[in-house]
Amino acid sequence: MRPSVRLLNLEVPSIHGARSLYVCSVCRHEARPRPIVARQFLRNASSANSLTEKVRRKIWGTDNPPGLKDPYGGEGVIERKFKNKHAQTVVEEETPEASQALDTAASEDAAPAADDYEPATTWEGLDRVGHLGRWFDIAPAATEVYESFQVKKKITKQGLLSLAAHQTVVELCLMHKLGKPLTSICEVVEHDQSVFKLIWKTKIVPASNGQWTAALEYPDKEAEEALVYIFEQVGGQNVAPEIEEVTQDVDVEDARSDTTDIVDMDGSKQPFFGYQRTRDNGFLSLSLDDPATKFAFLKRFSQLTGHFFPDPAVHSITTVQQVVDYVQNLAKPKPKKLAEYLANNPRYQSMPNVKVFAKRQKRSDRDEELGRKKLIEAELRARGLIE
Amino acid sequence: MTVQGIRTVTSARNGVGAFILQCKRLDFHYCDWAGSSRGMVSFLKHHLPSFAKANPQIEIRVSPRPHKHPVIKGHYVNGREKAICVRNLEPEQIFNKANLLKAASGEKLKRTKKPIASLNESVRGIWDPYHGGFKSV
Amino acid sequence: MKRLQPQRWSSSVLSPQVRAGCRLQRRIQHGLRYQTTTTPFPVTEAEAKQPIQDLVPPPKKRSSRSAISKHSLPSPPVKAARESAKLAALHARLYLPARLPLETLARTLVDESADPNPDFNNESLATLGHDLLTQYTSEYLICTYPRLPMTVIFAAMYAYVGPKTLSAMVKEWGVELAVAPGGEVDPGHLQFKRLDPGVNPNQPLKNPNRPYENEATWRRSISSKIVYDDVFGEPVRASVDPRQQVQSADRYAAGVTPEQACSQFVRAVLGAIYLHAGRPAAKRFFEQHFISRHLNISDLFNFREPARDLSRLCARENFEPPYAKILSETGRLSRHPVFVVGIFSGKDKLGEGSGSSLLEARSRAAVASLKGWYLYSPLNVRLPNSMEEEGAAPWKPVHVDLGEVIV
Repeated sequence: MRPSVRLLNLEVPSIHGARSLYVCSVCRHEARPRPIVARQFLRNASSANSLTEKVRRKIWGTDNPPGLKDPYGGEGVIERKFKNKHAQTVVEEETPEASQALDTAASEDAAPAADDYEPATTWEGLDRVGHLGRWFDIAPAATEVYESFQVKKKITKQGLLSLAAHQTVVELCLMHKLGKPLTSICEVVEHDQSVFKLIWKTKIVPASNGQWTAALEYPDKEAEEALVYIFEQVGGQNVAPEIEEVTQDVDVEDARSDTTDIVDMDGSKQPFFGYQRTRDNGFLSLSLDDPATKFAFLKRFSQLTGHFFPDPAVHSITTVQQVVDYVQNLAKPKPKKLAEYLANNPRYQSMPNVKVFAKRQKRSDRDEELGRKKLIEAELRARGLIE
Repeated sequence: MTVQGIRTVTSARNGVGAFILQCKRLDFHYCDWAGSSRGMVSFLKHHLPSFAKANPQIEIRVSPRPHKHPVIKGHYVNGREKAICVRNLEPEQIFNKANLLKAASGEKLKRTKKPIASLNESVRGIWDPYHGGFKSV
Repeated sequence: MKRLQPQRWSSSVLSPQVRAGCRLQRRIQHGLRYQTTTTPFPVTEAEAKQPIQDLVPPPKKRSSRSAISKHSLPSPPVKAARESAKLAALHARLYLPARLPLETLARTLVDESADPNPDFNNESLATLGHDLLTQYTSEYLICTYPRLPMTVIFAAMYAYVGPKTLSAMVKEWGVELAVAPGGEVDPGHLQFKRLDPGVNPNQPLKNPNRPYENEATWRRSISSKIVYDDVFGEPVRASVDPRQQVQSADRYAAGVTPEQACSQFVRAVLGAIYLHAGRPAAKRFFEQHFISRHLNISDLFNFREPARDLSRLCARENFEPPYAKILSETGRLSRHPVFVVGIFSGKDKLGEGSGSSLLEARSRAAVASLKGWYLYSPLNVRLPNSMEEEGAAPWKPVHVDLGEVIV
């Protein structure tokens, strides 16, 4: 900024008076002959009788026009600095007023006219926003816990997927039969093991008209009563503890026959209590033409398996079989590299004259093929160039 | 020893007995990532099995060549190589290029002036003035 | 003479190949090799006392051999043949019969210098192939040109199935030569141990069976070459007594030339075809790849004194003695005279030639008439090997002439 100050000095020789500073001839030449108007704009931006002030007075028709005195935002940095040197007294008078005006405006916004208002001197007792300490040590409140709608781990095994589909179908059939809202089954995240076993034993016999209500085939009368009783309470409250007694005897009867299908009995952490496959595949041919049924099925199925169904897939699905197929195809990773694709392609495996390499073939590969590599390596090793 | 035998080597007449295809190896290079290899990848997926089945006497090698344009390289019996860059070509065009390499002899292209090249002597013989109708000089 | 039965010798080729890992087993294998023939040859005295059953290596050893790394093997493992695209392409390029498996084709590509184990190299196949090749070629030459001199037959044999031709064929078949043999090498390459640089590959061979072998300056007659030398009229390597064949590993310790390895390979291919696909396939292969090659036999003659030979020939064949006549001439006194001379026997013109002098023209005419005699070829030649086929017509003896005149 020094040179411009120096130039400014030259511009106002009458104020400054000193011309002792050296300025090169070119700069002096350019600095000197300024047009008068320009000099006025520059010089008199804040002075009372500047050109802009005169124009404003003329426009408003009074000697005291409203608005800011200086519409251009006051003096520039250079001028202020320059002015400080010469007219300090004038500046000192103006500044306190401006600062006071600012303070009053701020205080009016913050505390509207409180008589007992006491400005705080320390931070103690003030409201806090956020955690100043170690916020993660604080236990979460009950409302803060997030439980996902779907299961945390996606189910990919084929047997488990068909188990989930079977369970969904049985539940929806029961809900159809009981005439309850279909999606309310999603409130029951997981059944009791005995209830699940009843569901697992229930067979699906798809009716010819595609109705879901008449598709169930229960193992016996007690199981039907139990299931109906349980599902009548879905939507209202959870499964009553009395029901389990009813189902217990069913358990005992069939416990021996079931052990073969149950791989691991401590299935509290395993999905579907360790069951691995369904008893029959009749549910696969049920149709999902009814949009409400389809929506309820997909919602419950995605809750049980953790898979999400995008809209195009939902649109194209018409049977339960397609749902299971879709999820199974998702689980298979596609071969990305062409070499993997060709290696898995049976058409290529029958070609004796085709060789597919997964990696780029370098000169060393050719050396190895011709038997030259071992000679090169032996020679390099003999000279101590490789280990 | 009245007559001596001169040792020579018989010269091959390819196609008189067996026909040896002069193209002995075709290398197909592609890139998994680049878009210029799209046609090549599709060719390798769908057309190459039929091509390889039709030409069992050609050794076909498929290997990736990352960050490069796709190339078909033909190796010939005479030791020469011919390479064709097939960037951005459709599978059908690549098939034509592969056929071109397969049918080539491996020699440099040259203009053939005579329709027939033969190892045998001319049946008619070389003309000379001493045979045929004698004319008194 | 007892009829040869090469099919019976082939058990070492057609039997499952077992890689003998240790040196002792390899020696036992050497001994076993002769059990397929009439008498088993014990290799050492200790082995001679062993019963034969003990010599048989336990077959279950094979499964444990799979752990051996490729680099420790002298030649590619047998199962690598199925994975080699080069080998399959070669099989198709040569139009080999489908009954010839790729494993055998891979074996033909392993020279004895690369793998001394006779179960894995092509030596036995090449021996069979060489015999077949020379038999078929010599039958073809003698029956097609019954009057050829013996030296020209040697030269023609060399031209058809000599090592130079065979190595040229290998090149034309598109077979690549491996730099060094080893288990990691692609089995589609021809594998052999190369001679070190600076070794003279053409060291003169000495046949101890031949009398006066050490007299280097003595003339070797054609008849002695027929008896003692090989089909090309070259001294053969001494036939090895099987008792000393244990040293066959050392026989090629110095390596072989590419020419030798290539010719062994081609012979082995023919032998393999013969064993796997039978005689007709072998003959077809021979006709397609060997006889179809071009050779102008009239270029193989080199006469020293054609005029004298011709007069001896006419005397032998009871023709009238030949005489030369000028047929035409031009520029006798100029710088470039041309004489055309014909040789007549009685009223028959035997040949004619032109030259810039009378003597030159006469000798050219004598050469032409001699070639006209020697290159006689009957029509509708039937080769003796056609009698090997089933239901062949009765054999009518072919005409084979006396050969060259003896001066």
